[in-house]
Amino acid sequence: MGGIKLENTITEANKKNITLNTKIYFKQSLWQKIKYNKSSYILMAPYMTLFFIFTVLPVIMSIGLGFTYFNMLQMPRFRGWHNYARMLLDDDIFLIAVKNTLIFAFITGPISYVLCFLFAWLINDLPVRLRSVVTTIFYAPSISGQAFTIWIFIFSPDAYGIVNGFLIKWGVIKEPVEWLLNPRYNMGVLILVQLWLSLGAGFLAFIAGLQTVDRNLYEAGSIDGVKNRFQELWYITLPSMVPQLLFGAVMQIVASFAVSEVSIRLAGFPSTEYSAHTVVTHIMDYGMIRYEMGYASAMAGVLFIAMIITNRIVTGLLKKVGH
Amino acid sequence: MRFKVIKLFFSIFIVILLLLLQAQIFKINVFADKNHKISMPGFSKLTSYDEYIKRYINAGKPEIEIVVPGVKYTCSENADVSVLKSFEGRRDVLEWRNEEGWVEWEVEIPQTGLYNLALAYYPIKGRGRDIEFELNVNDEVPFEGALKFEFGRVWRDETEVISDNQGNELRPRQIEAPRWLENAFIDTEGVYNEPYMFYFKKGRNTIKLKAIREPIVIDYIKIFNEKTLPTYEEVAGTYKNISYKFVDDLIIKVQAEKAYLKSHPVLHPLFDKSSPKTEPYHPNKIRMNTIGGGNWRYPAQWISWEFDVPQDGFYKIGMRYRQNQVRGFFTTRKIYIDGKIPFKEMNNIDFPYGINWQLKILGDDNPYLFYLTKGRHEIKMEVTPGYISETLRIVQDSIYKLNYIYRKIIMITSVQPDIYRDYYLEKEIPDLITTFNEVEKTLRAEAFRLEKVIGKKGTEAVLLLRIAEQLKSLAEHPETIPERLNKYKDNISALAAWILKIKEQPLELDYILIQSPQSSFKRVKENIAEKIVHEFRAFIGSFFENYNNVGNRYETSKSLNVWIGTGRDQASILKSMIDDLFTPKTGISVNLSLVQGALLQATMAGKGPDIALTVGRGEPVNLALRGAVEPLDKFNGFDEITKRFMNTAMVPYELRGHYYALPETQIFFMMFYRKDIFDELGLKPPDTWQDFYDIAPVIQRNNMQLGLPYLAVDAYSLIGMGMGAQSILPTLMLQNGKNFYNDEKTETTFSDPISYKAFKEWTNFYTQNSFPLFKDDYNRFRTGEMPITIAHYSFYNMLAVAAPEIKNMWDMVPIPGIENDDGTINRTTSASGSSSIILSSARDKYAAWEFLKWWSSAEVQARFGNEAEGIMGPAARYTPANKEAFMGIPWSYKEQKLLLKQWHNVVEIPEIPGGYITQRNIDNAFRAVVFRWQNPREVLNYWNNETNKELRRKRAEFGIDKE
Repeated sequence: MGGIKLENTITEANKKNITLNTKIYFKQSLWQKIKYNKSSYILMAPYMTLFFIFTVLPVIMSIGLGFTYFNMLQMPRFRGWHNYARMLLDDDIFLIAVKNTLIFAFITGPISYVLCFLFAWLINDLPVRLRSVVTTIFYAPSISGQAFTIWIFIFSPDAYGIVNGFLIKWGVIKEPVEWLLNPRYNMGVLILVQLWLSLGAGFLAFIAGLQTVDRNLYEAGSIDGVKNRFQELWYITLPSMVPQLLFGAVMQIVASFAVSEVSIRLAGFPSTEYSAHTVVTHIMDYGMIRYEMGYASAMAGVLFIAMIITNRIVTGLLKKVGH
Repeated sequence: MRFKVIKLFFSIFIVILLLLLQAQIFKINVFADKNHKISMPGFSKLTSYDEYIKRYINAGKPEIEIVVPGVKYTCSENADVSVLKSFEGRRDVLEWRNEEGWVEWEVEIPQTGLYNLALAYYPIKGRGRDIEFELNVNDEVPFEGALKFEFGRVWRDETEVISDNQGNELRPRQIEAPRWLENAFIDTEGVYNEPYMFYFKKGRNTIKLKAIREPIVIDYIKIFNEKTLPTYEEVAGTYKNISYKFVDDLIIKVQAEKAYLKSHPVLHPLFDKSSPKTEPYHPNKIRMNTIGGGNWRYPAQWISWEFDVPQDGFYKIGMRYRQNQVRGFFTTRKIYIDGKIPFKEMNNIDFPYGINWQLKILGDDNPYLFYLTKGRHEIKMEVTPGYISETLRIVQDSIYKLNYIYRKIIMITSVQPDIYRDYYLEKEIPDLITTFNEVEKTLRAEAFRLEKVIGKKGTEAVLLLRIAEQLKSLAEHPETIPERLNKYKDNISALAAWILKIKEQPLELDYILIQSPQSSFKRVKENIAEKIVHEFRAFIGSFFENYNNVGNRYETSKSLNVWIGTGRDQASILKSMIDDLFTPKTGISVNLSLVQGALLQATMAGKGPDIALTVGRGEPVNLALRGAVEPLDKFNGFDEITKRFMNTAMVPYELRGHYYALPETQIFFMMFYRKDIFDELGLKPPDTWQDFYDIAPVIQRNNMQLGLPYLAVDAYSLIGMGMGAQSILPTLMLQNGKNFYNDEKTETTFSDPISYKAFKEWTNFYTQNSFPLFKDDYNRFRTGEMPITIAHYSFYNMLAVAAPEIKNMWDMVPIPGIENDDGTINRTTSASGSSSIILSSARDKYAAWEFLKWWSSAEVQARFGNEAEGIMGPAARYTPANKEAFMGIPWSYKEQKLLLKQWHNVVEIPEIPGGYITQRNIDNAFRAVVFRWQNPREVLNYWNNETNKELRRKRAEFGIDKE
């Protein structure tokens, strides 16, 4: 108690001083303010430089290029809203790509988010040593970048492919099925693979979050009348790990909006009748194959904005956790 | 609390479940992987050598030597033979220039018996491959192995190892060092240690040689029997009679990379950066410091070294070697000193497996002593199958039998049997059970023998035992065969793969030591401290090395910058050719960099090259549209240069009347079929599509398949490969006289009824005739599951190199065509390939054009192809677009004729703005028909409209229609 009192007295003593400083501070010009806070700016500088060069600048450039015709070799030519008009009105395949991206974002995203959390929650109760082993197993697919190519063998269109082999052996099918090339099946397979892949960074963050929850709170909760584990989860665990939940959500959104490599490697590029085309593969198609960087940049800008909006919504939802 | 326990159990359960699942996936994956490496010999109709010998075993081996001079041949046909009065120091020899026909000799044999044969010959300049003959004795092929004998050449390094101006050592060029040779007729497949023996009856016999490949000068054919060698003990017994001066600590070290002579150009110096004890050593720069390795693995490959002995005396021999490829086994060498095998033990010197460099002392714990006189000596090491040759042979024979049974089974049950049905296989195939029992016994015996040879239990023999076990149970319960057929097939493949693996005899040498008996051998392994220092220096050095560079670097402003997208070996060959031939002649220096892709990005950034080689075929037009490449037709002599290529070869590189690239390679389809299976089924390879349709049901009735090329579309590889070689559709269209685009190149032709017919025919192969769409040509062709397939002609090299067990059992012929009214057959096909371009940003365009002229010339292309093949083996055979260069590539005369026949019928498909969309949409239409049974006319129409829309859009983008 004594400590707090002492603190209070110090605050009281300084209050006047601080108000005075604030007044002076707001009167100063920007340059003076920067000078005043120069240590903060210096500490921030290395990160901000990199962030600006490698993140902010490309985004600005890409938004700018979105209004031009640019074939990568000749100077960009200004085209106004033409690219956007074309995207929304004259590009059927873009709509397919948007549809597939939304499927990934709103189906695999939430499912994998919930799964991540469930697994993390279950694994968290394992003995420490076993827990680290299991964590590694779950996290492995996301570390070993190209590991999903194993699914190419599993869903190979050859009669000797693994799934085909078994299904033929068990008499379910007679002829091999082109799992990844047939538009009837490929999205299903991709969703499955994406789920398997996405137990990554989010999952790790959840495990970390679960371990930082203060054990005392559970005790306090049980005194206050928490009846079961689910109440414990909702009223104590989740609210205590909102930062991790947020991090996981952001990662998940970015991952599911940016599905491309999986689609390209498994379903082909382009996939049959563009059935597994996502916005990012569409961007790559225009950027790297048709050399229409302007149009590709416009699409990238749209995708970027869609991501930001989704991010806002999810952040809003997560604030409701525990209430 | 109770909840917590339940949750704990639940979690553990899930974890175990997932673990099992992963293990399962892993297991399945391993099995799938094996499936992709299936190798299974077919069966042959000729007598095997074992049977041949068994037949004549009592004939005896008379110690008689008969020499038949080459010039005394009795008759010949189609062979361009002439008698040379004097040649390279010998008189009256027979020169055989063309690679065709046959020559026959008559010989009086005084006594019936088995004899060895040897040929004394001089390998005259050809195309650098081994000389090949078929041998007939008394007008018959005596046994299967006689279908092809190989007679080697002699090679050497052209120069000492020299360095480029970056401090990296360059591999010396390998050139021929021809001389008179006398080689026995031996097995080069690695299953017989001893030279072949041939049965001759008393009296007049004939020996006939049929040319397969390469010209030769023959001095004589020798009929003889080899004398048996003494053992080391016997030789050592004679040592005490020799008086010599005692030498104490004499050590002669011969660096293995400085070989004196070698049998093949693949045995070139290598560089090893893994050990700091390898001599010479540098942590980052390339040092040519070892020889052999994986390149030195086939029987009859030899390397020899020369060394000077300062003093008469006894010496022991050791070498620093590494054999880290054949796990758990040893590889074997035969060692000659001064051209002779000194004693019996030197026939089989084994080099055990180990991850690191090791020391091998001849004689191991009791080193053999060799008496060497003062002066120059030669040591020669030759690959030999060694102790395991008999095992190899017997297991191979077992594979023949198992494979034969497999084929009999699938003819009844198909590859996907109904597992709920009893096929009564043991009654349908009478020798089923007996074969299984017999093979089981053999495999067990061989496993036992192997264990004895290696001296360890349970290593390599496990596979044999496992298969024996399966065979036993299959023989006991034949009703389970349908269910276990796949496992059975996997086992045969595993066995075949195992044989291929242990048959190979790789060995890498660093240096050879010749030391006096009392001296001790120095340590050859690095210790931990040395290893750490080495790794650290290598790591630091990696920051300062530019690994993209190839060879000498010149000041960039005055020299051409050339990019090449091949492997490092080809790039080094090209670089040394440039430095040898191009720069001295023209005074233009060249910097060569090894860069894959990134051409567009580099050009955009202004860091692009002046010239790019091995550019994909869609690239030139794409870049030309955006003004990034230079039109070549404005240069001097362009018209002359284009005559180097086939008529339509320039088509894909044309845009608006200008040409933007020169073709470099060109590759097209050929048809491959299994002769043995076709004979068995009484079929002939199809000449027309009608024939093809006629044989299809026969093959399919026997549960086998026919293969047509199909590559699933990938937008990136389309830019690289173009559309010509993706599927059989362009071929079908071209044979009906339709190209993909109209003559103005403004629209596709798919709305035309002829194109529709071709499209329909193409889809029918898969929908109505149920050809497999996805398949592994190589494996199914080997097993015989797919006895006929159409593939790129480079498939030939793959089969020639990696499918030795079906050697002589398959053939390559032109693809089927459509019969014209005059009875000729129209075999038109499309092609794929790469090209060379000059970028618009090139500073000195005339120098760049000089370079392209030089690079596309026949002499340069042929030499490049041959050197690449020499260094990397026939699997890397070059496919030049230059007509004359093609003649210099080591195809046999017969193969060359067939390839040319097809090549003259190649019609290229143009590349146009937006061309990427065409193949994509054709494939969409194709898949809609094949996967979803849509109406072909409708989908073709729909996707064709989409295609034309995109083409119009692209033309508008570049303002083409306005012109």
